[in-house]
Amino acid sequence: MRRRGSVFLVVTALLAMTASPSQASLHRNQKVTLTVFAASSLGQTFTAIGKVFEAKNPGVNVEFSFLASSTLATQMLAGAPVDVFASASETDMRTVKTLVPSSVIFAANRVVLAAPRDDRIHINKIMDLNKRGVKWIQCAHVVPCGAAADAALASESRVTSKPVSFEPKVSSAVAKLISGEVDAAIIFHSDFIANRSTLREIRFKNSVAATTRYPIGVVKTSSQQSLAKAFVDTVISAYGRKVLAEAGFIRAS
Amino acid sequence: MTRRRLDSFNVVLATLGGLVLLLPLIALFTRVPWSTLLPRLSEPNSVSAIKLSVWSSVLATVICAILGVPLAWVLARGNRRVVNIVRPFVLAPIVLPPTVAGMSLLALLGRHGLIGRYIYDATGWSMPFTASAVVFTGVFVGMPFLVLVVESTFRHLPSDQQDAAEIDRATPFTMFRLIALPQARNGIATGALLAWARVLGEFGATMMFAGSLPGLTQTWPMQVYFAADQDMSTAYALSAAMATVAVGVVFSLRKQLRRAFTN
Repeated sequence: MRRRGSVFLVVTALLAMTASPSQASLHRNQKVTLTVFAASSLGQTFTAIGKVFEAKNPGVNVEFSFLASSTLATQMLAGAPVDVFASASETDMRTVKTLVPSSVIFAANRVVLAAPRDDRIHINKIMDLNKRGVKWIQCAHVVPCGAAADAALASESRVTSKPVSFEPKVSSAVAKLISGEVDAAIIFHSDFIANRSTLREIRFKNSVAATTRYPIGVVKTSSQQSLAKAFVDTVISAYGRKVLAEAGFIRAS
Repeated sequence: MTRRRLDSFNVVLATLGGLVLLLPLIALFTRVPWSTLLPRLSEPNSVSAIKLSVWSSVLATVICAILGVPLAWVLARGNRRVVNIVRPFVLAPIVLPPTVAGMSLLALLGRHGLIGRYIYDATGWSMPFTASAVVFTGVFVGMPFLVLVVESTFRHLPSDQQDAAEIDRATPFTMFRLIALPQARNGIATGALLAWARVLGEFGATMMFAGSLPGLTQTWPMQVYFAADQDMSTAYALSAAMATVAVGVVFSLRKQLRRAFTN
């Protein structure tokens, strides 16, 4: 049964490459895939929202790619087949303006300094980054969590030490912090909430500088406009906002 | 040597295969912003990344040679049964995905690593996120290439001089130093150059183990990765420069590589 199913998938995939759209739509019982490119920080919340969306729309399969928004934007400009893009910064949404002409802000997030609860070098304030021997990391400047970290640090203007690494996406920074390879990392408040049991957070004084806003939009070239729109509506619905709020995202005004 | 005729089946598939390998490289060079190439390559971040990659890969290659040549010698001369068991492990990093290589290095030398924890507890120092981590990763991924080529060279050295030395009661070490080493110098150079090219191109394992800090651990390939998110033209410029080095290495080694792999 299983084997026949996979053969069927391969055959339909091969057919889909050659067939015209009208022929492809003959296979009504076939699963439809919605591809969502979403910022690395949306990993847990969007996976949860995607499950509910799949349950509500039988036959729909939501595929996510969670990477730095800047990386996703680059892939989209290079022609990646995407239906929905959710970015962790308005900058990266502007980069793909030709592909996503209209978008809506659905959440905000702020970067915080996070450190393990049982740390060897005690970090209780932002200034402690200057302590001797502290290894801390942030995201690369081009990545939303890195841009927010830069702005937040600039507003503190007292941190003279440098990070030991600029990570390619926030989830890499979180992983290195949790595994104990570094003493502290500038990550999103939502990442801290997801790891509350092992991490502590120290907030930046200038919360405006530390904040980034998340836009979401349907990709113009998507062949599934209505389904893509439905996914966006789920994210901005009361349910979607609740999931995001519980995960530590800030309600977008 | 007479040339035998070729069948069209193989010629067609070979042409396709050749194109798969060649076209991406050609395409890369069509995207290079030639008029702004030099300024792009001399941006501070590009320069520091290229510098780091060059010195760390050269240092890693030297270490590869210091440790890898004796390793190749032992593999070539050691107990055949033991060697046949050991060799696959020595060559494993060649086929290890870079992310897995990175995880392995963290598992060994991270703050909570097998060895790393003792170093960290004793000194407060850990290798990840340092330039040493870049070099160590290079040694790990590069040495198997050197060992592969050098072992093959050692195995195929003419035996007459060594036989003569044995009659003269030369010690094993003297044999290695005065006869095998000079005879194998071409193979060692080939292996070292191949290892160096592999180390220079290393990306995934380094990013996992050494992180990415401009000037300290952000290598040339990493700079390509980050530039691609910001400025495609700079990413293409850096890529083309890297590809030129890679093709140059293979081109300069074309005779030796054929010999090393056909032996």
